[in-house]
Amino acid sequence: MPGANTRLYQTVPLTRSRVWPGQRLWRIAVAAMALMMSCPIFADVSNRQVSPPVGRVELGTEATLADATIACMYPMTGRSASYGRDSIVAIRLALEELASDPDAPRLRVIVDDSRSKASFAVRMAEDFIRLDNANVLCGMVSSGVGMAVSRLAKQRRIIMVGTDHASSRASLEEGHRYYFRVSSDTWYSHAAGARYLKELQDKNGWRKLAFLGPDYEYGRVAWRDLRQALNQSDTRYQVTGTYWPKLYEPDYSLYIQSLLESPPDVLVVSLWGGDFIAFMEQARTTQLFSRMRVANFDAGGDYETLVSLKDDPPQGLILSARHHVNWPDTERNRQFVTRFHELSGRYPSYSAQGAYAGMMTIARAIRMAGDVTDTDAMIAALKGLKIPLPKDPEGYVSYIDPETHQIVQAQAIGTPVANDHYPPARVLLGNWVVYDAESLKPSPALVNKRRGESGG
Amino acid sequence: MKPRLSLVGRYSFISLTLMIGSIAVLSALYTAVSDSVNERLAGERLEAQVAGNANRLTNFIENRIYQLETLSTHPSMPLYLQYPEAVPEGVKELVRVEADSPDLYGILFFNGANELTEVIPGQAASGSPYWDRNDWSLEGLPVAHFGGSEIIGPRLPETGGPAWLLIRQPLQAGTDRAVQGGIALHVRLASVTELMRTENLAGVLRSFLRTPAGELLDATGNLQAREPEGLRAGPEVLPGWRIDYVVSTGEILSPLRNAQLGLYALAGVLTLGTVTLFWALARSLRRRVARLTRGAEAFASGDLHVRLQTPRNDKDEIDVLAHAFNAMADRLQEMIERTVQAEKMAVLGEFATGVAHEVRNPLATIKLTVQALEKREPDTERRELLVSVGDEIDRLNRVVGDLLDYGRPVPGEPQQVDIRRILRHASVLTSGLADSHQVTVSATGESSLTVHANPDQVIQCLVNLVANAVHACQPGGMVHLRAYRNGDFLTVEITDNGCGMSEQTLSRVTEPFFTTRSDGTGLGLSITRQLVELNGGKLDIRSLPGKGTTVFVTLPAGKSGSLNTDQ
Repeated sequence: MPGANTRLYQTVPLTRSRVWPGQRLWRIAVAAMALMMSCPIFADVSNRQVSPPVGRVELGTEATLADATIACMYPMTGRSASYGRDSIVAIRLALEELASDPDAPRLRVIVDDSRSKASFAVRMAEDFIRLDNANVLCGMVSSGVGMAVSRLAKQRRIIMVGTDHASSRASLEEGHRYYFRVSSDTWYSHAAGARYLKELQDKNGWRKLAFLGPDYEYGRVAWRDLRQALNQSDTRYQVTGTYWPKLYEPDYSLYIQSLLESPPDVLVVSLWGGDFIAFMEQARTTQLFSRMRVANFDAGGDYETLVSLKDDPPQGLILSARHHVNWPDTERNRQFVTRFHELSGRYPSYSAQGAYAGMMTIARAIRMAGDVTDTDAMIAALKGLKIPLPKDPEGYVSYIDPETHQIVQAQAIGTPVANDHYPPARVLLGNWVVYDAESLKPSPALVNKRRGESGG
Repeated sequence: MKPRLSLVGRYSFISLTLMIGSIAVLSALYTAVSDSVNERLAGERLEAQVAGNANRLTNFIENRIYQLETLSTHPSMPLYLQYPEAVPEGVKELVRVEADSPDLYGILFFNGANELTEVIPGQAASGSPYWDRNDWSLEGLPVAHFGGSEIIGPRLPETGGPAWLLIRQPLQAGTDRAVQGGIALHVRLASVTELMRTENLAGVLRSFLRTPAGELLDATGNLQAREPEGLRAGPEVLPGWRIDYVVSTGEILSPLRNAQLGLYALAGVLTLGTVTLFWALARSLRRRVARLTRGAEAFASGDLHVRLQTPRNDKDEIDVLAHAFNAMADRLQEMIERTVQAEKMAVLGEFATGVAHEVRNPLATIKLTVQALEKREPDTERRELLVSVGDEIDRLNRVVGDLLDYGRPVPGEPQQVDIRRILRHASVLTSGLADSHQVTVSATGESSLTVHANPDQVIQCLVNLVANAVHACQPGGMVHLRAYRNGDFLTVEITDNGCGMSEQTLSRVTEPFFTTRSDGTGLGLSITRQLVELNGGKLDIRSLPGKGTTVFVTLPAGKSGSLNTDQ
């Protein structure tokens, strides 16, 4: 198995500089073949599915022909490997769409395995800038990794487009002119969650709240966002406990036991991916779900998590995610989900939509700025940039908040209901409560407060 | 006689003894097992668990110290104090990789004034001091010395965030080591407390980490607002750091103890129920057996008509016994009655023979004398008186004959006889009587039917019965004889529409000397019955007062086709 810094190259579409002259013709032929294979017609005829990448992958146009080099970092190994895998499929999908637009910039996209480690990712980003002449950094699932690379981007004055990591600190306290994010962050999801809980309190009068989140940047900020959002909505509650298992914790029994000993009315969980699945599998062997409502507002409604519930979801779950395969029920979302399925043979996790949004946003910004190397023009283009995305409900177009550089999007919260339209999932979210984008946007006062305060 | 100890009582006592004995044995066994479990849970093994927890925590700290030594002893590491920008990329890489440990928030560098100079965020880094250093200070935190390292903290954030501690070692730089500082691992406290989890003990042992500041933290790293009841001081893992623990075997074993108490309660209820059930059973059984006893005693005292009440279908052994008793009483009564009857008949036979001998000869002499006197008597009135005396002598002679017949019955030789001829004979013989009473006698039946009996005796029987029927009828009455096959027997019905009989009369009608007529001897039906039975048949009488009487004479049927009837 290759190491984190090992560079592996896939044959489609493969580009590297400094090759022997005779190889050029061969490479053009390979590139042409790759382009043909990426066309829908050929893709359908060949009925191929993208094999899981291991290590570095290069997509899109070759370096010499590309208008911009985008360097992305995603986990491709470990518990969160599926996020990287789906992000790559989504990047292919975005490149496929851009290839059909003659006015779109030609992007060269490099993807490598961040291994969810800040040290690897920072080193990798430095290599991307130094060796690959990357114009834009993108990706990152782990908020810790995202924040570390964001600091590097600020230091190296290179634009970074976050597609999946969600700590709101990245765009608020730590926000800088080079950092932009195109997926919902912990503030948006927990602001929606706080309103949902407020409405729930009006119905059932819950009072006691507990929080369980991964002990790293994402979990810590999620808890802070939730508290601030609850306070903002004047929700009265009593905290019975906060629990901080480490990221990729293999055993949650200690925390489940503690929760059962002092049970809250509502438990908000901010675990994600395999961690949340593992937690639920352990918790459902106890009385936890019958003794409290469990909510996960940011990542719990991920497609893979819903698949893991089979046809028997625990009672009382309240879930949401940054994208849903069955919401919004718009042509754009249906097309995205269907095309993703055609390309990969599976339905997308929410990270895919973020990666897709990242590519489309960068391409549009380059087109507006005219030159990716003109960083100021790029930043100006990105500020307030409107971009129609699969997550947009009918009549709404996502845009990047010029103040926080955070994309402004609606959030839908639901509960698991039987739905076999997207197999192998047997349940999907339903009973939607939708909170419109503008209502979730942090107020200027909150932005100022956050940018002026510390802690976490 | 009342038994000293009833059978049911004995069974009840044995059952109760067995039940209580079993419960006592099971209880003793249960107590022994639960004591053993308790011993295993709360005994030496528990202490071994606490010691294991302490070892794990100490080992964790030692491993971190070893990790820290790798960095603090690196020759280039002091550059972080003096010239951070001059730190070689390889060293930075080393520090970043070490900081990425899942148990660390990051690696921190301090100057000689205990001020933070450099932070290297790890995978779990968040907030202060990585993204800002506001409100971040070591002031007031307890410091413990462990080997060459300082254990600083823990720090418990007020906003519900996770707690942490620092493991710090000194760094020295410059000539004569003039520049002093330190490098510290920023450790997740939960990584330490999580090691106190005690597998397989299901919460029997709950460990808490006692910090140098006296705070008590549970295994999730959360501060305990109140000290748990029964908290025991455990081993020290670091100077000032201790594992305290609570053994809640009672809590764990309480379901078992509750189950034990529940079992006792259930056993008590079962015992009570059994006693009640056996008492009720014994009461019922005693009552029923007493009834049996009373019946047997009454029967023994001569009341042959006593019978026990029994259900139609036997429910249990007592009912079977009652039925058997009744059957025995029936057979015994029948046997006794037959014996009495036989004795009566024997006495009657002797009496009749004596009477016949002593009375018939003088009667014959008197008869002859009366006949001679009658012939010579010229006076009409006196002759009529003598004729009347002769008639009375005949009647007396007939009575004596009947008595003789009844007392010493002679079985006739059975033959196969055509029933038609018998009926005809009987009709002819009774026709005079019928005419005088203006009663119509008729007979029907299949002509081929035969009877296997003595024809004279059968004719005598039928004549007796027809004569009785005629006497019972009013003028204009009817007597009908009907013969029909009845399996291997032949039945002759003699039906009249006369006055009939009451039930009481019917029950005595075949007794000798019982008659309702002033001129009857009371032996006709008795003799008839006797003759029928002598011929292997039986006599049944059914009668309704005012409606009439039917007598059923059932005799063995003859074989068809070989008749010998012409007598």
